[in-house]
Amino acid sequence: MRFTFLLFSLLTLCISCKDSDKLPFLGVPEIVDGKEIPHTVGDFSFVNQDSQQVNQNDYQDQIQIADFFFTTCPTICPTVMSNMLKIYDKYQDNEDIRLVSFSLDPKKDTVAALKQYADNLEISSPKWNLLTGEKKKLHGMAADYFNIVVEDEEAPGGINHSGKIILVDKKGRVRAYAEGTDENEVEKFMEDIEKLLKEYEVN
Amino acid sequence: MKSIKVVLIFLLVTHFSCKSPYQKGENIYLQHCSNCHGKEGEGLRKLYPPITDELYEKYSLQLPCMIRYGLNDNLVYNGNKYTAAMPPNEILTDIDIVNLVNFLDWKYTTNKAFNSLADVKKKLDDCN
Ligand code: HEC
Repeated sequence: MRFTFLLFSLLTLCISCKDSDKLPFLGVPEIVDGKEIPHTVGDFSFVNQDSQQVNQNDYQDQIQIADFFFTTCPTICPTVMSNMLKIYDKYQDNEDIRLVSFSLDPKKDTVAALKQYADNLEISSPKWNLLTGEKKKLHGMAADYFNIVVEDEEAPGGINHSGKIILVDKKGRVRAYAEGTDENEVEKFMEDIEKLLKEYEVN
Repeated sequence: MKSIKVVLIFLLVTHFSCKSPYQKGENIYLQHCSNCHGKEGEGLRKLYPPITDELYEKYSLQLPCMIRYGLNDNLVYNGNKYTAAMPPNEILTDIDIVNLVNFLDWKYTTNKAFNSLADVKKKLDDCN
């Protein structure tokens, strides 16, 4: 009896210390002068729904929560976006957090189309930037943010892409991600956001 | 023996009465429609309209055609214009559409009309 109790408390101890772990640095690190440098998302320059130029420097002091989408995407984006909306609502007043959505179909997603979409979702920049620009560069960003994009005429909307939501810290390092269509993963992702916020509280 | 049968039937009836009788249609809705219109038909802000009794009534006649070929009607509801288009769904078969329409009729109409495969096929043939 006592033994089970001991075992049980050890178990909870183990689980609880694991939970308080810092979030890992994801992706393949670079080795520079024998030191491991974590993967960071690349530089970019795109334009948002309000015709403002946006680049990586706008996120120097911000945690980014990013996804890839296009406004006419029929299948997974609506679900991913409604989960992004939950995050947007929760952190509406938190200056540390910004949301960013990269369009994968810039031909259709003009600034005007993005503006319409933003208004329909009742979201505003710069808290949540919807970005468009050169297609090759937008598709190039996806790999940096752990997303896979393939143009495919057979796919719904003509573009086959993954619906990941990615958490990027203030130094551009990817710290967590979730499948944006999976409720359980998104719930865990919400906890990961809290963990990352805690890191910045201590420092 | 007899009383067991009675209890069994009672259990069976109560079991099914809490669920929608159109389980197949409901599953199709959850798989192909709820991403935009919401699990309970609540819609998504001003982007995708909710499905309400009132709106459903207005669109129910053309529903099979809309499901297959999409809709770009800029419909206005509650003072909001929905500018997004509903995309065509080329995956759902005629039978899927019958199941889906019967589920939606059951959920959003009072007369709960039953559509046969022939009814829906005829509508699909007449889409313009
Ligand atoms: C990509 C998002 C999307 C998907 C998926 C979708 N719809 Fe729609 N639906 C819309 C939009 C947008 C409109 C309004 C179109 C317009 O204004 O012309 C609409 C309108 C409707 C309407 C009429 C208005 C209302 O709200 O009652 C019905 C009924 C409807 N859809 C049912 C369905 C059914 C059934 C499915 C699944 C087969 C489905 N939709 C899938 C976006 C979607």
